[in-house]
Amino acid sequence: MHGRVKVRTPKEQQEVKQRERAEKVKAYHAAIEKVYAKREEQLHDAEAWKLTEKLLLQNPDISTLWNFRREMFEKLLPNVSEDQQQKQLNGDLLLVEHCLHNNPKSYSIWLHRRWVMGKLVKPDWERERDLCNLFLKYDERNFHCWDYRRFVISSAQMLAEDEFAFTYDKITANFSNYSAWHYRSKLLPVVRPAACVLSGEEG
Amino acid sequence: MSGQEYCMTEFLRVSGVYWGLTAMDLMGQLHRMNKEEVLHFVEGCQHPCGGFGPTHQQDPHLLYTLSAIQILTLYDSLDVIDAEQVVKYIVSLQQEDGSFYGDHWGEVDTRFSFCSLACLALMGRLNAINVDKAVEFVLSCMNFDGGFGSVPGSESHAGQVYCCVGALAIAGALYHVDADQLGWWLAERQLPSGGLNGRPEKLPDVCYSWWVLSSLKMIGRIHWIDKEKLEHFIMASQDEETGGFSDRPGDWVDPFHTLFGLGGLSLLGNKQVKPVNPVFCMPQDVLDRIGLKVKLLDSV
Repeated sequence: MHGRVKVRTPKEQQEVKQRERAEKVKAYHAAIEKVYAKREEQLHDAEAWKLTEKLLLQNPDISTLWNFRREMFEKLLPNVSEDQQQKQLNGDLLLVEHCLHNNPKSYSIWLHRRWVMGKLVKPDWERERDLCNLFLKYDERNFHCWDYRRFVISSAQMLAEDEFAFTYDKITANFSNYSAWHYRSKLLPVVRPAACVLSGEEG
Repeated sequence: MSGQEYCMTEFLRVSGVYWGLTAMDLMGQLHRMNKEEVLHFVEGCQHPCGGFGPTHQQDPHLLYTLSAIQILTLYDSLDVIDAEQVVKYIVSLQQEDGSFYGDHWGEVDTRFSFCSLACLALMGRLNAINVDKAVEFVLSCMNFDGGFGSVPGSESHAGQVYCCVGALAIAGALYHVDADQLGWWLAERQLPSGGLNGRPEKLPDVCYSWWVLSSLKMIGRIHWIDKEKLEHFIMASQDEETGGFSDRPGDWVDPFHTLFGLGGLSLLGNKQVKPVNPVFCMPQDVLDRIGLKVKLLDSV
């Protein structure tokens, strides 16, 4: 017979879903057991990098896997050229970005990004501020992103005045942006310091 | 919970066990859980460094160390693990500015200040760390609204407020809190539905019935919340089919929201639930058994 779409009954659909879920669980356990074994043997091969990446893309909250990647970096980085270091670390910045798009509020993802930035010989802090701008466009109240932004500004010694202007733009766009108002309360003492003490006057 | 959901939450398992057991104990039903199995599981989570991971073969962290110590305290079984090594682990994570790393990878957050102080208080070893410095760091996270964030400069958030106020309470330093200012900010978390949110403009969530309410209790301002409306919201978030609580009416349930829903009800004076201690989120009778007293601010 032609043209008859196989429409599953709800019970059949449930059973298919259950089988699919069981397969996923089996695959997860197999993959993570392999990772534990490699870690135990200190086998930092291509498969270790690939498996941890695959698992983290599905579940970035498994801090142990980010920890293992950092351990592998710590062993690797002293033994390769600066260019290689940059290449490998940038690879993880890309991985972090992919993970962030699905999970912009995961503590372990933002922590890994900070760690990678701390390891780069030539960190691109402008790019990091742009990343923050992007994620604050997606969600202007994402405190992970605001905190990361403050880390970027501080690390790069960027100007408080520029940040003050940034908060003004955010507030103009949305008067209720409490996160921007809060940041403003921290910036004001920095952009308006007390008058010079030498003159004997107070601010 | 599906098998897949269970395995996706493996990274926080020991905390899940703490949420489930504490919820059961608050309902007077702890005896229905398998104590031996739980203790065996928790023992297997301790690493040589003293810290606990969320499950076997996963790395130690302060978050899971606190959950482990809370479970062992519930079961009066601190002796099954190396308690002294736990103290050493926590001490090793305190920084010069008084803050605490979550683990040796260096994340700083006032959640970890709470985890450290609560763990040590439960073990009677608070003096192992520099308490004054710990307080100094927590206070450096106070904001214009009286609230607290995760690190200096971070926005106020009810979860963070609970951790900071709890830490200050344990340290005997609650007098630093601007109780009227913070009490007002916390009271403003209540929405027309009766539910509480975690910060301005956010949706209500049953777990904030805990973070906000216990904070208000610790600073003597719990009467600033409309209790009837909040109780109504929490009750509406209970799923009649499964019995658990969700974040808000109509959503899927989980052990996390179940515990904090019950905790909130307890603080509101609901007689179906045992009295809960607002600092530790554990049954008050457990804290009484170990003789741990933490003074709270008086109501005005």
